Amino acid sequence: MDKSDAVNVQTENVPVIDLNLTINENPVKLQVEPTARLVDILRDELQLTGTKISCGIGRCGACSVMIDGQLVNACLTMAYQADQTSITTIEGVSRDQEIDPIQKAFLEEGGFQCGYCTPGMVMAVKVLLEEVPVPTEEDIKMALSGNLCRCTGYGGIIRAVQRMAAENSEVR
Amino acid sequence: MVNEHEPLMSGKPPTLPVPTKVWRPSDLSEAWEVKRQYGTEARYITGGTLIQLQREQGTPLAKHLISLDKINVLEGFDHLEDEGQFKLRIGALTTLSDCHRNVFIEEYWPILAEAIRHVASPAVRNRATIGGNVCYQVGDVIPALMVLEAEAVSFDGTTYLSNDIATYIQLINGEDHPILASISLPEPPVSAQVLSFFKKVGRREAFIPSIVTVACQGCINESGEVEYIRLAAGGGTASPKRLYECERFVQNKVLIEEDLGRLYEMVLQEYVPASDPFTTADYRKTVAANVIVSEFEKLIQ
Repeated sequence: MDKSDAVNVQTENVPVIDLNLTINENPVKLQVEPTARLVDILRDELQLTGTKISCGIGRCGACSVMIDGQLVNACLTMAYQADQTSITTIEGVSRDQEIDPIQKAFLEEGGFQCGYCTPGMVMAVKVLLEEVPVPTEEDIKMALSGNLCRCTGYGGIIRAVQRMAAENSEVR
Repeated sequence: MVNEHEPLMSGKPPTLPVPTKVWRPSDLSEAWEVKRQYGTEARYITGGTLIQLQREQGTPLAKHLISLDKINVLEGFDHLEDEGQFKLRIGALTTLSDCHRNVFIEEYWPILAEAIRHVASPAVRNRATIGGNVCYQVGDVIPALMVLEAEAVSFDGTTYLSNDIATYIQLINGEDHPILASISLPEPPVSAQVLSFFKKVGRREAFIPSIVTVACQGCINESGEVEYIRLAAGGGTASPKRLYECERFVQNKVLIEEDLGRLYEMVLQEYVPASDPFTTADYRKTVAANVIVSEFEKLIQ
């Protein structure tokens, strides 16, 4: 028996489930292991690579997505937990080829450098602004407490969110 | 080609992941039966945030995961009336976010809201459940639940049991431990002045495992006497504990500066945390004593 055969024998018995969900408003059907991580399904099965993998334990927020309107870590979500849900990833926030105003604010306020954390940050900010359109700095820090950035020092990120808050305040 | 009886790599033979089957029972009796059937090969799961963390750290998933997420009675809040006192029942599957948003918890049991606010991040709290935090045995909400004298209601296959939180945490160590169904919060005591706080100390400001968590719920009467006091401390890998000796020392006293020195010594004596590679038990004791005494000092001032 060669090495690859040995591995194949073990994987034959892996149970799979039918996963039905909506991703960025498109219905999706897949057969996956029930304990597969959502982040792997998004990236490997659906090529939605905007959602990033970093810590794998829910500490860094790089894999943040929305499930039924709530912010969650895709690395902490197993496939069976995502069944029959509606998921929004960073690919789903732009409309008609236009980037989301939050993304624009990040660009214009220097809210990123390497950009690896940015998709997760944008998702966290999107949820925050839907719940609290004009957040305080304390609200912003709390909402982003699960999203780590190793480049910017957070100044530009917080400025970007405050800019959105100011715009929302004017609209109100 | 590799001989079938030879290891594929030098050193230990490879460990291949065991396929995991997920069960989703619709009631507690079914969940109990699946656990009985598969014993140590099965594990209950709710939000799954801890299990995923452990998987990433190298602990393989159980061969059978029994997800409780389809058991509707385990979700949400109920108001109960018991001998003229009201209680809030929180289903074990209720997420920490939902608990944090609950207006009754915010108004009547604010230290629980404060404790929850310090658990992980908003995204994790959207999945993590209050039952999962208790069953973790070292969760940060446990000291708050202890001083609020919360009850753990669990199901042992035939009947529902009611225990204080500390007792339930001990039950979890048994193989056929009862399934946590809900947490009941009794009506908080009323007094001229409420003394309550929850403090978490970690290695950075937010989203970090605790070094020490301290919770207190107390009442001061119009004469300035402490007429009711509950204190608990936790943090690290040791299960949180009530500080009964410290409570007895403070009870019925009008606290003065000299009492605080004695209280400091008593916390050092009574609180028994664990050491880990980052933090010694002595350091944790000192932090707990400092935090508790500084909060009582504010009361005197």
